[in-house]
Amino acid sequence: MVAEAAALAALYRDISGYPEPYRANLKALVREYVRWTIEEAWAKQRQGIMPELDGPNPVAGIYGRMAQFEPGTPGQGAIHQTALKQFDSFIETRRTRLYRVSSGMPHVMWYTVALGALINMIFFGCSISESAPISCWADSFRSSPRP
Amino acid sequence: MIYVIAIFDTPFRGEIGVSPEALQMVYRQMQQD
Repeated sequence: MVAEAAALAALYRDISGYPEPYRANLKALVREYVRWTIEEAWAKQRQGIMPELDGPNPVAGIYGRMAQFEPGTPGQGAIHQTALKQFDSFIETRRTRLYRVSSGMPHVMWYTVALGALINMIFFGCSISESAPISCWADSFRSSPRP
Repeated sequence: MIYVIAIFDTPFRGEIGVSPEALQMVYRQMQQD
């Protein structure tokens, strides 16, 4: 999350070196993306919904505008290259966040945790009192009559 | 303990998940430019 914000701040700084009208367009697109992420996408991902699957993808607009730019000088070429690398870093951190929205611990791990908790509860129940209802189910097995 | 595992397993879900504070800070800086 912090890495994505830092990548966006660096991208915003890089595109400040573009000539007009690209500079103003790209800055507006990045600002709009940040606003959209805070106000709309965050609410959706809190519900477990992947934001980009539920509407337009604003990142495509940023890349589309960057791809249209043709550097006129070596200096502009260097700025463009740096901005594209920064854009890639931003995409990587964004994809990591989106992946975390929809993924989690494997089911088999949850079963292991639940089984461990159940075994723990049984042993704890046995240890605190011999007269408790769940105390020593092993004892009840031992005392049951054999056929 | 299981509740804590569940919370850390999905840090972006629910009201007590990760907040967009870092992005809000960046957004404020962008507006000042």
